Amino acid sequence: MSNSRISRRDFLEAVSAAGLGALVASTGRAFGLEAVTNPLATYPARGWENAYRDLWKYDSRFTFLCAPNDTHNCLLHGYVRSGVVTRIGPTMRYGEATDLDGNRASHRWDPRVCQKGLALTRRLYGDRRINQCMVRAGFKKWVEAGFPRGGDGLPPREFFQRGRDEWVRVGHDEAAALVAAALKNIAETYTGEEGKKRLLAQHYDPVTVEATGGAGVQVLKFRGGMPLLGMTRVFGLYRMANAMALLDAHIRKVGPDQAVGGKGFDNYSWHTDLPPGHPMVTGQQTIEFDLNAVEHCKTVVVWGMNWITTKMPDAHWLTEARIKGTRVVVIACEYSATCTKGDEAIVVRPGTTPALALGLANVIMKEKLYDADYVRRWTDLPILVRTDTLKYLRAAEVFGNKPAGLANQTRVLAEGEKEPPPGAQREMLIPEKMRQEWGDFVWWDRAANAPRPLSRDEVGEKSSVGDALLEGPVEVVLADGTKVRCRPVFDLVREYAAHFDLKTTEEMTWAPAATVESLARHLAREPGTTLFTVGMGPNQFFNNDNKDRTIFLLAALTGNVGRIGGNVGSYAGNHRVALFNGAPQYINENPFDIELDPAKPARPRQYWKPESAHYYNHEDHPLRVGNRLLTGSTHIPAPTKSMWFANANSILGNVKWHYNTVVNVLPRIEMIAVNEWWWTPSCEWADVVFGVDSWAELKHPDMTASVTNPFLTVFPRTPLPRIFNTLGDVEVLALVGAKLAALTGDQRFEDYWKFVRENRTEVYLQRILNGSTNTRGYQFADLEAKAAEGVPVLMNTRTTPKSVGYEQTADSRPWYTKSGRLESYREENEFIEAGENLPVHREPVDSTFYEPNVIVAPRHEAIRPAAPEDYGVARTDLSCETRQGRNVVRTWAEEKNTPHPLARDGYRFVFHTPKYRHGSHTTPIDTDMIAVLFGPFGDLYRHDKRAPFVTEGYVDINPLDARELGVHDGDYVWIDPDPEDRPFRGWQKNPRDYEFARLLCRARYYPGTPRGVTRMWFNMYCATPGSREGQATRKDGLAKSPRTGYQAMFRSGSHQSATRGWLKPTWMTDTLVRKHIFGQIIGKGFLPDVHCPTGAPREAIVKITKAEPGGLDGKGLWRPADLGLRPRYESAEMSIYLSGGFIAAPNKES
Amino acid sequence: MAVVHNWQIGRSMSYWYPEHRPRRQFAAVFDVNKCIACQTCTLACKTTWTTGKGQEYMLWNNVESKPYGFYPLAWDLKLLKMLGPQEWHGGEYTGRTLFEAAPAGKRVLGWRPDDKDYAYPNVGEDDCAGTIENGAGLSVPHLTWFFYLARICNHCTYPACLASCPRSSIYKRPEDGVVLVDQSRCRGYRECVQACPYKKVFYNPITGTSEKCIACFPKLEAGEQPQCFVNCIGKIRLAGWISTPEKASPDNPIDYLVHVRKVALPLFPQFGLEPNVYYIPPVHAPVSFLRQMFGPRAEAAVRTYQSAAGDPDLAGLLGLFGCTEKVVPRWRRQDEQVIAQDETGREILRVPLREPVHVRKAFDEKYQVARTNCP
Amino acid sequence: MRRNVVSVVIATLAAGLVGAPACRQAPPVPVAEVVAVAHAAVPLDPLDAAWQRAPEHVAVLLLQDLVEPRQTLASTPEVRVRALTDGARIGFRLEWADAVANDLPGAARFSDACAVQLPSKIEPNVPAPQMGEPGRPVEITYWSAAWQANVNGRGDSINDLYPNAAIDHYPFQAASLSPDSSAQREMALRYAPARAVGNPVAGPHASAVQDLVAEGPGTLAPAPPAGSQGLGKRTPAGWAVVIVRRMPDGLTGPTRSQVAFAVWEGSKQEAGAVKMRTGWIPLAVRGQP
Repeated sequence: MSNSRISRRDFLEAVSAAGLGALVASTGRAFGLEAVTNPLATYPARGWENAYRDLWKYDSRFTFLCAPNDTHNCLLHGYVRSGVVTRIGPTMRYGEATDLDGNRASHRWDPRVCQKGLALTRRLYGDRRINQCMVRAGFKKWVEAGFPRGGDGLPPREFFQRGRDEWVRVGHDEAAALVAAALKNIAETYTGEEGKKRLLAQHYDPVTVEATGGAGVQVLKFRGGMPLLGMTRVFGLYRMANAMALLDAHIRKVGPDQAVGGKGFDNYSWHTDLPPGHPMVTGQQTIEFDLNAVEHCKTVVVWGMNWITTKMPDAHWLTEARIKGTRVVVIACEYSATCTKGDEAIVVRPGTTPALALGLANVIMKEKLYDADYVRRWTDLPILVRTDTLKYLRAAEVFGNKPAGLANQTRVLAEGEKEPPPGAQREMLIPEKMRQEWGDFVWWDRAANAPRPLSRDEVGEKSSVGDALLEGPVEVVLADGTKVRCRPVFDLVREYAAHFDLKTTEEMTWAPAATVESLARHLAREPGTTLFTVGMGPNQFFNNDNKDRTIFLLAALTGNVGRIGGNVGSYAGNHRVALFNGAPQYINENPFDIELDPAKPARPRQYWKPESAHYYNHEDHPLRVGNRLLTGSTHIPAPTKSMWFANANSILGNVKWHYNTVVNVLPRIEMIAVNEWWWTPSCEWADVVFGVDSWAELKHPDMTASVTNPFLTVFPRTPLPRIFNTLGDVEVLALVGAKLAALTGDQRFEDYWKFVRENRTEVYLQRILNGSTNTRGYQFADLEAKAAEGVPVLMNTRTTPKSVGYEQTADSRPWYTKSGRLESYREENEFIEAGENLPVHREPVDSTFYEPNVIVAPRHEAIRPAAPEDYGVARTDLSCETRQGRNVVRTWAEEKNTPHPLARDGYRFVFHTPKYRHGSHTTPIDTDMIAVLFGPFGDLYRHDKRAPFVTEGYVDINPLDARELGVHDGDYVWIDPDPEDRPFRGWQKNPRDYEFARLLCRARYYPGTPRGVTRMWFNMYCATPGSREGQATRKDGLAKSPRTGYQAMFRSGSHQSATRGWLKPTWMTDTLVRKHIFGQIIGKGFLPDVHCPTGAPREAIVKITKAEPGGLDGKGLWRPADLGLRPRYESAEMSIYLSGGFIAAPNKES
Repeated sequence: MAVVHNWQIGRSMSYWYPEHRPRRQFAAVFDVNKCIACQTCTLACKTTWTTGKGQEYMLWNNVESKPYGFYPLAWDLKLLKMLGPQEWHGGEYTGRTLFEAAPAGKRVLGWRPDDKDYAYPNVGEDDCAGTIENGAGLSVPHLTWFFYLARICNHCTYPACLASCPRSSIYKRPEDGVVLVDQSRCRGYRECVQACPYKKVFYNPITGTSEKCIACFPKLEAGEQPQCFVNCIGKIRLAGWISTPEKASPDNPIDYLVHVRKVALPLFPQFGLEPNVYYIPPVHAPVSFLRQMFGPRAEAAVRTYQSAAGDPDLAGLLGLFGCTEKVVPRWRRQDEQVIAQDETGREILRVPLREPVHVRKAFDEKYQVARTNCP
Repeated sequence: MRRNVVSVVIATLAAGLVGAPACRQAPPVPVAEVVAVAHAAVPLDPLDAAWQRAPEHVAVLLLQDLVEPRQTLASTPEVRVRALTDGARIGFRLEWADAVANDLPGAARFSDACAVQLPSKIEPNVPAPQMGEPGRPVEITYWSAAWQANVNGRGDSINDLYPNAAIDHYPFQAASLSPDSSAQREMALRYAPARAVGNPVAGPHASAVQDLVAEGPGTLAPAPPAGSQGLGKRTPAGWAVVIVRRMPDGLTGPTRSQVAFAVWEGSKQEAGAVKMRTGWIPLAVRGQP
């Protein structure tokens, strides 16, 4: 009535109405407020304070486990008000954790939480939660049309418009039926000779087609992302892969002895977390230690690890150790966050870690500062190598005797003898055949001037190596009288390392010569007191195995392997599934012989076959260079026709070379199924998305453990009702199992998940506990009860903090290598052919200003790699594919004058993509309050509509470089990698896809990065066709898909626009000796997460060009720069501020 | 205007109201050397107190990278410039405080941020002073540097927000010294937003009132530390009660660090508010900058902190930070153990100076299983 | 400080001018006091022709420079006032020049506003014009452009203030709470403390005006609801705002009261004591409804 006239009556009514209404609300008094004389002293009405007391209140509290792939595994309290989880907090009870002997952690472990965990309140209820299941309309039509296919077996294109198609919401039952039907149909299609023909017609590499052995189930790929993070929930995908043996039996009509299962993708190695050189030196997966061990060392070298941003809850161990006197040395390729905590901060050129380690080793060897006793007892450095064959000299060759018997915590398995299950193993187990192959070794006794045999038993205290020849050659007379020139490994390495003198090392690595020299001397001063914590940085370069081998050389020379206060740890990912080495009880339970008695253990039989996902990432084929197949026969993948994964965005949404994968690889894949609770870019490109429970809603318990802390943590069942229509991951698996049972009439598909259906998943968990070395004795029910109170338990590892290598050093237990020692040398043919029998430095495969992937070495009699010509390729062929298998040797003097082939076209920036504090990988990165604090461009109110979200991707660039490019701080720039194959092969002829694939982002002036080196954080969500459509059609300009709600953080492209799938021959050998993942048995060749490709996702050389001005709506300077508050834009007062100049008089006191 | 004593600037100064100290004063020590800028404190506060409409942009707690980080934009730089050159003579600040420099018609020298100044709350994240052109080998103090500054309301002894409110809608609680904006009385004039030098009062455009950090008083009332302290995984924070220098007691952890060891210093003491969050300055940053920000004792504080390696009391107490949700009014060290105590001296908990190493038997006879680090 | 108010002469002058049929066409010449002309109904719409019946008083605005924080720079120079009454209520029509409408709240965005102030009691000695004085309260009706925008339909969400804002979640909008259930409404209130404690400025605003009472600077407080109403509209030159409130007791025939006005210029970040204001102006009534 505001515009109408009102009568007196209306008015009087209005008064009384208002009166009644307002009396409730109004706190005002009839007269003026009491004037307050001094609010420091007294204040009248404080009743209003109850508003905040009320806001603080909660009705109830429950505990859940937050465990993204960051190794921290935090039990958190969820605080519930009116049924809503309004906030989250730490339990503060890690200090009550005990082990089976009553040892206890202290409250210094509390609190365990981070901002990402607290932000889950916003994600649990967010609009990208997956309600029920989503099925791509075209896929649904394809299945319902009875899987129509062309002559080559491929489905018609019109059914596969991924990323642009419509979606249909269906119940879990229907979605499960679709997936089961597709699995069966795809397996049938590619079974037998017909199946092989179809695959060949689709142009798959013949060796990969052969690898299927005619079993169609082999083209079905399964992946539980980092399965340690959910022993039943995530690892369940591998149990599902094992169950595919039933499908194979059904399709091929074969029995349990011929049936094969599906394929399981790797994890730790897929994430480029595996340090591939660790097994090359130690014969087992990785050395790591709980991070609190830093309190027990005198020096810690934080090497390419941004500890305080990626190990946040354990960062205090570093800063507190420093308070107590631990010297903190940080090596990074920028002035990183962690550099600010360093007593010494060394900034180096990316990808030059091997050169730096060799430079340090050279000082120590040259000045004879090494720990000679350690070298003799624990390393292969005294062992003689034949200079003719480049193999270790064998004792049998010299003394003619048979290999010695092995008794040192070792048992040789007789031919055909079956090893006990991992949990029952104590000694190292070596198959007789391998034992014979290895033989024994020889060192040269200087005192007696005679050769001496050395068995692998003889390590540590049991070592017989005395005054061994370390330097210079020796002529050895063999049993048959022939004389061979031999040199100790030490001598070969010393000669090579000498190339890395201080001047060369400084030129190559940018580390000042004086710094290298003083650090080397410092490390040698007190052997065994330095911890090397090596991060993901150096590991994501192509030379990552060189990196490990050279760092281990440095550590071996200074006695720093296998000690609580002296060791080498690799920190990337949460990999060691062997912490539960009873896992086969669950994942490998024999589907033909299922144990339905909850009290009895299962009878495992592994039908599924592991495979490296890097071949899928490498356009689904192995590495061929010229006439050579450089992928070992034990590694050969099968074609990928179906993918089903859980707990993983890295396999698709944030996959390396993402745009090539979605444009060129996906079209050949016939089903992509995803278990998720949040709509990720992986969902954007999927066919079926199963909506599953968030951690806060789990109705089936689960468990996990960590490589960086000593805790065994349980995911307790939570009382929080499911917020949306979701199921547990294991329930989804059981449901698909049931559908397969219906399709095949095989009840075992259903029985395989019996205890899930009966809500007794803990039966499987207890079987794992009983079967695992370090958990036997725990009752799952007790662990879950404690977890529900926020209390974890300690792993019963040999030591707390656990420190891999402790037994080797403390018990003189041999390493899992041929020689039982830390091996700097690799005698296998693949390594000799690659020129990597010695721990060498290779230039990065792309991220270098010089010719890529060159072996930097002087003329050296032991470095004799196969040349490009030997593979039938031209020496001048530097194409990305060929480059991977290119063995060219140059001295540094030569190499430094040979530019990167793209340099002349303006590709002058190393572009690396490390992880950061604001995301655990990509979790929960697109959450408003996390995103707005991610980097300098956060703005919840989005004053600049161009912003794809409340923050956006940006590249850090040295201001001097930016100035040269005419790029201002905050401007938008295009970032273009090698046009040969990125962002995707064929982009030149495909503008439709190039439009969302080309990287467009903000540039941020970052004075901490060296010139020529640019950085973009790894964690943000990529642009998709849907996000582009959102930006174009939404009024607010958000890069949010109108169809799915997917929220991108780039206008176009992503950090993965510049990365690529890379394969290195030394990652793919058939001969490397290494321990099995579970237990103590030793084998050789391919092993997922131990010896297989890791890729090199931090490698890219790019060109950067200005796109748009950074100012509001594309005009002028970005505001903070315009106001003189940014590096290189400083106003007069900002300059005074930086110099502390606002304090006028020099202070007299202090 | 009244004349009050401010021990942080070593002299008396003028203030709008007469001096009146609360029965006990909430205070905190932040160890900048341990801060990792994880923003867990920020989210702890955000998700607890400011997830309502109109509060989206508000960060009662924020962490910024100095020197290029500000929230809101240029908050301290602007004021330092307005205040002009600031002089110390020994422990005495001889320049003007914000109250003494107040312009005509105002009670406090201040400025009011623009809407856009609250955008980019983490601008300058990890941006350093100085440039790396090539490689570098830095030792302490770093020539290229930045550090993290975590900030909450300082619950000042002489709050500028309180002085500036024409309606006296801001008060200091006598029982704990917490400074509050009365949400029933505030009319959103934003004099406090202008006056607070730390820019820790925020206007809520939906409710039309100004809001600020309440030091989680509902938790303090229950003897617990505020959210941003309990959630601090860098373990940089300790909340407690501070005495005036002459009443300092060494078994009070705040007194010990602020008054006894003088290792923790106020933020911009020259502003004159006697703020009650005390910072242990970063040892790797240049002293000139630290002096500007933390006053003349910065250099001595850095030296004291660097000596902690040989000082189990100081090192031990710093290790007690973040170990308990309870407020720790008293503490003591007993050999290798540091003990947190309540007012009555009863033990709250104890933690070791170094987490001990447990070595288990290679074979567990009881459970007949090997125990290994390499399973 | 009491003032004797003698304005008979002015009043007579004004009386001569008002009420003549002619003034239907041409608006009356400005007068030196505010004359509330009796009329059947008081239009809330500032554009209603009936306002032309009332003479216009041009009130010069002064700096508020008596209490801190002071207004140090002059902004709005004058406000043009007309008044009508139906006997039960009195309406004031305030019009002033303001090139830009400021009705969008934000961290640093202030609203245009105006207010009418009358003494609580008609007595020869009026209270101090600056918000009254202890024991001698004044009644104030305050109009805000921002509240007007709410009344005119602007929503209560952040996107109404910042159209491109992207917020994922508010606890009180969780999917597990049924919309508009009492639990849902309670939780929404909880996360808006000023609303939870019933601070009338906190909104949501069903009216563009608020009744207030004060007994001196810094004592402004909500008054018991007096059913006042207000409606502001943009004119080509600025704002025209009608504030209708209860007729002061005893303001009839020859009796005179006093009235004062204040105007806040949002673009100048004026709020509270920082404002342009008038002193007391005589308020008279003319004619019978």
